[in-house]
Amino acid sequence: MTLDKHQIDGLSPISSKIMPAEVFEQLMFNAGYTVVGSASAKGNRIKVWWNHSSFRRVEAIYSPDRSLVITAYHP
Amino acid sequence: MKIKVPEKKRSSNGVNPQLKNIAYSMDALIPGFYLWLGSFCWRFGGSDAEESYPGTIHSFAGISLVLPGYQIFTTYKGSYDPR
Repeated sequence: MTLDKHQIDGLSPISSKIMPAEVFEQLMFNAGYTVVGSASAKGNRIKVWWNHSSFRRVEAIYSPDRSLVITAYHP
Repeated sequence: MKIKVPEKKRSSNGVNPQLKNIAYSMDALIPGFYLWLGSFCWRFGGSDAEESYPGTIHSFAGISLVLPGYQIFTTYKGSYDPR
């Protein structure tokens, strides 16, 4: 992802630019995040919201086929 | 009696909206060519930013090329997180 350009609460810094969706989702589940919804995003991307009981909400931007996570940030 | 109406902010977090669009386009790896120099921004391709996108660019000047296939070539080395 340009995940390497963001710091997500509860996750170690990520060094890769893009990441397979299943790898990213495992990281998020392990940190205690849960998926709460998704929608289309600008630029022909998919946006997925992640919630956590104590950390800030996360928005992750996926590729159109939802196989890759490109970036994720706290809105 | 006059009621003072607050001026509309430049964007939700006070950053240049054009710079925010470039930051989002680079962040989401949307193909395009991007250039910024102070408050001057030039974008060929890319996309407007998501309304909730908080990121921006923390450098005065830079240039970036994003190609299909999620490849990016850029002079920018910083983060997109707001400070």
